[in-house]
Amino acid sequence: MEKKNGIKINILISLFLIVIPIITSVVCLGFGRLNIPLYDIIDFFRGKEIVKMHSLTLANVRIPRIISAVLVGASLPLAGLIFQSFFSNPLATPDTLGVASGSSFGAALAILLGFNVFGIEATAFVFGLLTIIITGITGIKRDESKQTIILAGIIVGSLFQSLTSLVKFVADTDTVLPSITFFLMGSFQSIGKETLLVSAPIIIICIFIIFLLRWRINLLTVDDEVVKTMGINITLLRMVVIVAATIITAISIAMAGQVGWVGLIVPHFCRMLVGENHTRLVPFTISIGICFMVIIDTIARSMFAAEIPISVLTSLIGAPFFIYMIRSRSGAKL
Amino acid sequence: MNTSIKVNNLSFAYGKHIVFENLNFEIESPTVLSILGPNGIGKTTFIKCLLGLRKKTSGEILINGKDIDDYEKKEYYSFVAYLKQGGKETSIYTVVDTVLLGLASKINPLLKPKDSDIEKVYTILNELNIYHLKDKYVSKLSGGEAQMVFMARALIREPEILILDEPESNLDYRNQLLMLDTIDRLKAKGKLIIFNTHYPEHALRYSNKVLMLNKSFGYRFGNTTNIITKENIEETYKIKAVIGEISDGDTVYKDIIPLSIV
Repeated sequence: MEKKNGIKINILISLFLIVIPIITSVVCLGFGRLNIPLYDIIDFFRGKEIVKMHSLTLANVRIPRIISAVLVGASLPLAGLIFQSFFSNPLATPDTLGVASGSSFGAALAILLGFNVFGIEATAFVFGLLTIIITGITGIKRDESKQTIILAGIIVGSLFQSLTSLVKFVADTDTVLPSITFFLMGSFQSIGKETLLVSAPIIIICIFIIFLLRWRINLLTVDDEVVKTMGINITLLRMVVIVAATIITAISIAMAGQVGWVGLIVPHFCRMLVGENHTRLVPFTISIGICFMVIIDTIARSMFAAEIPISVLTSLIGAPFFIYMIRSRSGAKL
Repeated sequence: MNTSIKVNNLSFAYGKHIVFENLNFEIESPTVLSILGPNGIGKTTFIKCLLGLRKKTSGEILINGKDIDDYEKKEYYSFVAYLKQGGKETSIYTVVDTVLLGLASKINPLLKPKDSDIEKVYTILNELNIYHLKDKYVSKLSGGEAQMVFMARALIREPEILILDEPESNLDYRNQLLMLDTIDRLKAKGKLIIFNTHYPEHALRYSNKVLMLNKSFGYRFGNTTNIITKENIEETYKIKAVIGEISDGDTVYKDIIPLSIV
């Protein structure tokens, strides 16, 4: 009897985690400079004729934008979760490890060199991976001080930030510089359909891999020597997971620029909600990350006449949360 | 079939610094082998060689007649398990989730544990008398309770050889007894157990074989009563000690009391 109820609850939770992001996304499609009523959106999806302006806005502006927000909202928090478990450090995120800066540099460099969408994403990934390797080598020491890795991340991150400045410095001020600057500010505004067609499949595959491995990911936080004597190829697991996390980070950044803090806030919020087991943490982080990002983006584009940069909003929520986390330490047990 | 470990001329060195050399001994299950010696003598290094975590410098470690280096990792760790020194390990998960990880090598990488796996965890928790802790976070447990959880994670893998690094360190009397009685039960089940300890009295009571590492004579190996003598203890630890007998009326127990530093 107890077991049956357990299964029922699990199905309900899974359903909830799938349905909530969908509802959020559909509702948020309606908001913006032009408000579209919900019944119009539903009619649009049912293939019915609606006001031309509404259908054009939905098809060309809103839907690509929401899809971008969904992809980035699933990616950055999940990457944050993986980095935290990988380094057994509650403060590890794409930002604090320098991966975000590394990927940004890669993307900026690729724009400077005139690469296409795929080239930009590949370069962002290569530099993201390079950053995580440099940070890892610098930061993992036998002294077991958890702050070393974050210090290393800050140092490597600032190195790549200055390299990005160098790219901006040499960029052509009329043509290339504006697009680099615009890109670095971070926005879902200008993400085209071609970018989505390249990015979405890669992100979905990587997230799916992490999702499948979610129980195994628990092994990442087990003592290194003990896990080796369990007869598991932990190195392979670590490689797969860290590469997948770096890919989704790099592609998110190549798409939307640096969106700070979500890699920290969402996973820790989920830890407080469901505990430390990654079997539950992974789906919750994905689902809540999507809702969070879609809502934040909707606020960014519909609150004022001019659009607020996403990072401004995420920092406004992220910084106080960060302070709370450091002070209380109630959430993470890492 | 009995499990056997045979060590031939085993040496280990960090560069030029020799930790131990020319170790020779042979044991066969059921056995409890305790390893004694002063701090820094290389007890932990030795068990790490046995675990395949450190590469020996020279010599042979034959497990069931086959050299440790010739085993596939997966095969070797299918019958060997390791428990770290008490207090050296933590877990961020609940007791059940922590112990489940012990089954990881038997679970498809892309799947979650099944209900039968969770049943196995409950059985082992019951055996170790920690079932009531099942839903608690390990980080919230006492040192003794946490150590038993890690013991459960090692035992759920049903090892034939169990290697423990100071399993009863940092534990109070009761928890020490819990740990040592568990070792005793495993021996009764025919397993081979090797443990490092700083308590010669535990070795005296719970092990039938002793490996004593020492700077002056290198090492001594043999039956417990032959190795744990006043002379060997004094030479190994550079102390004066007495070994005496205490009786509770029915049984006579041997005990060691360290007296003074030489």
